[in-house]
Amino acid sequence: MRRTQEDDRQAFSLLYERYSASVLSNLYRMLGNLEDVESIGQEVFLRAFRFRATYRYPQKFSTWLFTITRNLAINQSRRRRRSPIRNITELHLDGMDISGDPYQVAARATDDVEKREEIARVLIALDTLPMDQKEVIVLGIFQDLSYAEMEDITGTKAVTLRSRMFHGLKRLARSVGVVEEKG
Amino acid sequence: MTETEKDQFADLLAEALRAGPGTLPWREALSKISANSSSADEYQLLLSTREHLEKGRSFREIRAGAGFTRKLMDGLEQDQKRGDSRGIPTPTIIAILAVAAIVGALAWIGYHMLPRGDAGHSTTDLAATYFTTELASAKFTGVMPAGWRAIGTLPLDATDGLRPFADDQTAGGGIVLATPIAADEPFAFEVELKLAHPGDGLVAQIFVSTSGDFSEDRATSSHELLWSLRGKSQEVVLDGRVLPTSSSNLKDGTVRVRIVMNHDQAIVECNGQRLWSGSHGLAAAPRWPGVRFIRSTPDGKPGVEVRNIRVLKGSAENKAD
Repeated sequence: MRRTQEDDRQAFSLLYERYSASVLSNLYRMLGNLEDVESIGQEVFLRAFRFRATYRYPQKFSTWLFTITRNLAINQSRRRRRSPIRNITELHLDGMDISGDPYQVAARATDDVEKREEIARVLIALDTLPMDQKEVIVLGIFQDLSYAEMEDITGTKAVTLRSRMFHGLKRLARSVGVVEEKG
Repeated sequence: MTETEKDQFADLLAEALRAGPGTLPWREALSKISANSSSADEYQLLLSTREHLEKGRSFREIRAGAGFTRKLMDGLEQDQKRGDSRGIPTPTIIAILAVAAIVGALAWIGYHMLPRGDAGHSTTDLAATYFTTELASAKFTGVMPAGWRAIGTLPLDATDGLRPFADDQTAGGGIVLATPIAADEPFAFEVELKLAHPGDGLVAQIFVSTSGDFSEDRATSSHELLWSLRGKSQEVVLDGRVLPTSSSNLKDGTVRVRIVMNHDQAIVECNGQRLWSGSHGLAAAPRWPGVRFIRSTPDGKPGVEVRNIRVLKGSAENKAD
């Protein structure tokens, strides 16, 4: 990142190669809309380069980048004005056709038909969670970020994030019928 | 389980749910759940849901295609070509302009509407002006001095000083220069008073008014800059508003008050100490300097008297270096 801050485009390309899949996947999981993912994904990296001077070591670059990603994703979900759906072949993203289908994902994960159904239903139920619970599951589980890193990115205390993780998973379990309603 | 143990277990479970199957927190949580039979089923179902998510980790896992990368690199190139002019995003520019507009408006309001404690060059010029030519003066030898007229209804004793008669009448009375001074004429209005245990029931005021019409009962007018004394406490008032000053209480003895004024600025001093200076905001109307007493409670002796008055003329030609 230090080289990028010295206007080294080649260094920025390396960072892009390393983090682009994480950023785009994160956006896809959070927004669920490929058109938004493409436009916001472009904006994330343009901004990262444009505002490279604002990055301060020793903050982790990934944390800084995910903070930009999160802010743009939140702005987008707030003003979400869905334009007419374009033909998916116009989008320049790889892997979207397979990974976007929960049943295909589940089929690749296990041969157990019953388990496949449960996995698919859990993945589908992700989009029904409140944004704050979904966010902690996406960042903590899919992006494998620690509570401390999530605290830096979201500005929310770790204790609250733990609670959101717990309640988010409980809600997922309930929504697919594996947890009976308590009290 | 104690409360502390419950908290520790909750933290462990949260960490296990985040880290996922096969990790150390996961194994520890599993062993503790087994020992904690009361909520074991619920926790097991949570872990089961977490396992489903683990198996579905590739859900919505995408990568940038060549087109995406090319588009981004083109964008970066254009961004660099546009250079630093693109460095500040439009919302930031709008925010900066909005803040600048608000600050400008506040500055305008501050300049035009509020009395200022320091009026910069204009007040400096006024302070550096010599006032050497006497326009009028008043000494009190038993009769009202020539060139001054009485205002208000409070009877005044002009024997060896000017003061209200010692009685119970609550009203205002004073004297004002008979012929006003032109608005664009810089002048100094100097008044010497003597204090001897002044009470709170009597207010002594040294004023410059833009009107020759004074009320009968209190001898006041609508637009004035004045120095006011109640008891031993002094203040500066402009059009009815008390101005912030650094004034302190006065002691018995001689007190010299000086108001210096030109068309837009004024300085108020007491015993050589500047109490206030700034834009007086008075209309470009003739100035009527005067002194008055306002008795609010019948409390006998006045305790304050005017010893003498001088009005001095200044001009742009005789400024100090």
